[in-house]
Amino acid sequence: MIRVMNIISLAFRMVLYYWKSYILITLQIAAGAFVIYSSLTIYYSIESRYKEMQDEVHALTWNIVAQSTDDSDSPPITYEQLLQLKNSYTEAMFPLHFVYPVHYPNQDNELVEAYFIYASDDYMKLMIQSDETFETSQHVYMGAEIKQFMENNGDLLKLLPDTPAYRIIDESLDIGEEAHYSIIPITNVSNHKSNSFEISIHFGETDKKALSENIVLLPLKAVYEHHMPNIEMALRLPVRVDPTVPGEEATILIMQVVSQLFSWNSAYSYNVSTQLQQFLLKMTGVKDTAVIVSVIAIVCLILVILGLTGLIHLLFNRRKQGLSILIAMGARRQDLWVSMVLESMYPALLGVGIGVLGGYYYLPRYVQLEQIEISPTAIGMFFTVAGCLLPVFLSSSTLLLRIYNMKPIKILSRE
Amino acid sequence: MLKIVDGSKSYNHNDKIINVLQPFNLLIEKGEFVAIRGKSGSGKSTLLHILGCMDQLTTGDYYFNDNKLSTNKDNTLAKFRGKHFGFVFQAYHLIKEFTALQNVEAPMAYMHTPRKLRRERALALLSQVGLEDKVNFYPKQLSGGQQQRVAIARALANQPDVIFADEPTGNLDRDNGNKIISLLCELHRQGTTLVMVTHDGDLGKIADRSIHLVDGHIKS
Repeated sequence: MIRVMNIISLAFRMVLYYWKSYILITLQIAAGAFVIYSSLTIYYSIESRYKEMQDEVHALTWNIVAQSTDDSDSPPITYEQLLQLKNSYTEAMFPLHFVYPVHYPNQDNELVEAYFIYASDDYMKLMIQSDETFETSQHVYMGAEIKQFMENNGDLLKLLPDTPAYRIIDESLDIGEEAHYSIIPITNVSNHKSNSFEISIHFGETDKKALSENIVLLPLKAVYEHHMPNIEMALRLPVRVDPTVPGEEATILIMQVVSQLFSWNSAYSYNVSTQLQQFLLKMTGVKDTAVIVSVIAIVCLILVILGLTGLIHLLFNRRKQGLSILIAMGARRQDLWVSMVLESMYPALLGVGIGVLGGYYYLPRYVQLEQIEISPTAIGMFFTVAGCLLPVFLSSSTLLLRIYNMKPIKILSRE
Repeated sequence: MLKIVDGSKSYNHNDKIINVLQPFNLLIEKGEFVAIRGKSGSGKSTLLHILGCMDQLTTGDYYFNDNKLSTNKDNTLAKFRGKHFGFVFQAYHLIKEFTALQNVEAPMAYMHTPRKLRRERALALLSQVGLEDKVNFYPKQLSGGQQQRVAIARALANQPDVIFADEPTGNLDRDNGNKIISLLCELHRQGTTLVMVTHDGDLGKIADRSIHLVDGHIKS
């Protein structure tokens, strides 16, 4: 122990004596360590957020948004195509549903909004945990309020697109200008609108509740009997991937589905949840930049370390006499070698310390990225310290042979 | 104490063998003051280095208190030197990066002496050689005589059995040289074995015994 302490203190004494030679190298290592640590921290922070987002792939229902590029009247996905997707991608759910917001006057003669949702089996499973075959059935799930309205008005509804909903106030019409889908009891409305369609609601067949008071859940397949392209409202095809599938594979699956849909229906454009996608792309760019900066910093650091190696060898040449004296006085050559390695490690350690602490302080305060928390990472610190100290150690280790080949007698006799 | 049996030393220089020390036997008793004299190039420094375990014999055996040293390895010899021998060189050979105090402490550091004890002993030795007021001076701040006194204090650091002095007054004026010789004689009187290389005939006279070297031949 005393021997080790003596070697450490000898090396420290030498560094103090030659501090002017070491100070520039120390500052250069500090700068290199700062850049490496900063870029690693940014990289790992993004990587960590990336992983969180990959996990969110499972929690999220991805929405593939379909938008018509022309006046195509075909649906963005047919029922047969949906079945094909379900067969091809068994690890995913496709809770497809078509939503028609409609308006009607309620008991209090107020215009209220209701939703007719044509739902797939997966949608029913996801939303109300129903395992029944629904999408091809004749069943209907109804909210209480709209059910009451329909009980009063018969079981056949007519949907009137592009028709404002209305109500009668004091025997005159009050038109809801904002409500462009209306449902009016068929008995009260003439059949003159060409794009209107009827929906048969056999509400007596089920007493199951829909999702809310004003929702009607209808079998998906029925929508294809009277589907109408809706330019204003983009259709969303939701996809949910099984949580056992790794995040990256899940993302690939989504992309494959998009590609498949486009090959079937080229009249539509399909995009995945754009905000998330843009974020991933943006962060990929930042991550790549962090990697490039790291590589540049490592190259610079290697140059600095080569400089340090040169300095150590220069000092060795100047100190041959002193080392020979120490050998004459009983120092073992390996002790002298360890001492010189330590001597080069001190300024490197100081430089790395300054660089890492600088990054630790500076980064969270001055670097801010959207949705990313830049937090110090132990792994970043480890790699920075290892990345800086290991080459210093290896380069100063080259002194070993020189010290072992040194002839103290020749050196001392020369004086 | 120090015994060389059938020793010789030769070098190979440009495929030519140069015999620096012809076959010889040598015995130095404990407490003796031996002067090694001879002309320049006669091999006296080589003999001193062999006795100080800084160089090795080409043939023959070297014993210290009947322990054979000539077959020992570098590390063992280093440890042995540190423990039993002290060196004083003509050119002082102080470590320029160390203060006088640190120079005296250095040999103790390699003998695992605790820091506190090291410091106390180094201060006492510097005081003994009359440099108690120069402990924090670097070698370049000291005169030649002062540097040599630091070197003597350093040689005494590990309480050696033998001190080897290689022309210790060679770089000093007569006055400083006399002071150094007085110091070495005082150490000898205290019981330390002293082996000194010199070409000064007067110094040879104050030694207990002189060894003359002529072209590598020892003539006691």
